[in-house]
Amino acid sequence: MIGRKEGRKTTKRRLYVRKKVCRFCADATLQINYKDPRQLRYFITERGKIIPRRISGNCAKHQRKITLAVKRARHLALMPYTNMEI
Amino acid sequence: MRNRRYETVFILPSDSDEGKKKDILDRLDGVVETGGGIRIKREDWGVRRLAYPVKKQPKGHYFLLDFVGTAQIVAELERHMRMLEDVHRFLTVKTDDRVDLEAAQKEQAEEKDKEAAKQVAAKEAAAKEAAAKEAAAKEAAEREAASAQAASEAEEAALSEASAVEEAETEEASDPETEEASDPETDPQEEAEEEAQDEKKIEG
Repeated sequence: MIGRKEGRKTTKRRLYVRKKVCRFCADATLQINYKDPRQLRYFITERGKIIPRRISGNCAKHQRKITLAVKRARHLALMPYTNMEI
Repeated sequence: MRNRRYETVFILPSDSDEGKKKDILDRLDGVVETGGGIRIKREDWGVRRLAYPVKKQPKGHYFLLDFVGTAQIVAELERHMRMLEDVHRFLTVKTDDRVDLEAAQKEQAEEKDKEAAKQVAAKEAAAKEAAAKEAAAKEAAEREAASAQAASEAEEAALSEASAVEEAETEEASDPETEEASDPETDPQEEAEEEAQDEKKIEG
């Protein structure tokens, strides 16, 4: 293996930040819809980036669906690809 | 081939005229129908601000088409949309893999009824509005005529008093009590007098 550089920059983090439950698993009636940017807005950052699962608390299955929905919404200009402000 | 349910969202220019849009919509409907598909419904989301400019435009007119058909129909539909320069964006998504044709046809019929009902309601509402507007316009015109008369009468009365008032005003200016008594805001006659005075000044 290629040698690792010494002095990893990452300090030790808490191993589990996951107190949250996946909100879609908890409520079976919530649907993920690429056509509804208001619902999807909660899963992107201010800059328009998709929020990672360990922050959003979603389970793997629903995180994938969210990602797909956001990408579709972006294609349809319902959501931005990026929100770069000056 | 199997019939599946799809929905297509597409964007037309926000500023093109209604006839053009209708043509495109009908054309796309036609593609579905001639391919043997069932067009279930069509939604008009209206003009929306886009998250980023598309074809240099900041806004677009969104439509949704919900239909049942084969993959061939989808391909044909997309082919048409690609060709039309007015379709700035489109996205077709499969919504159901197993579709019962009969149920779909039922839905189509139901949606048609809904649309027909909506149009009737819209027409009625529009007719009511038009009638109400006419009535309101008439009232407004009548009121204007009446108030115009009143104003001219007041002006005449004011002009004759104007000279007398000018003298009185110099006295009033030094006497705060009388000023309060004749508060121009609550005394319409004073207002008319003031207006007449202003007119005089303009003329003079």
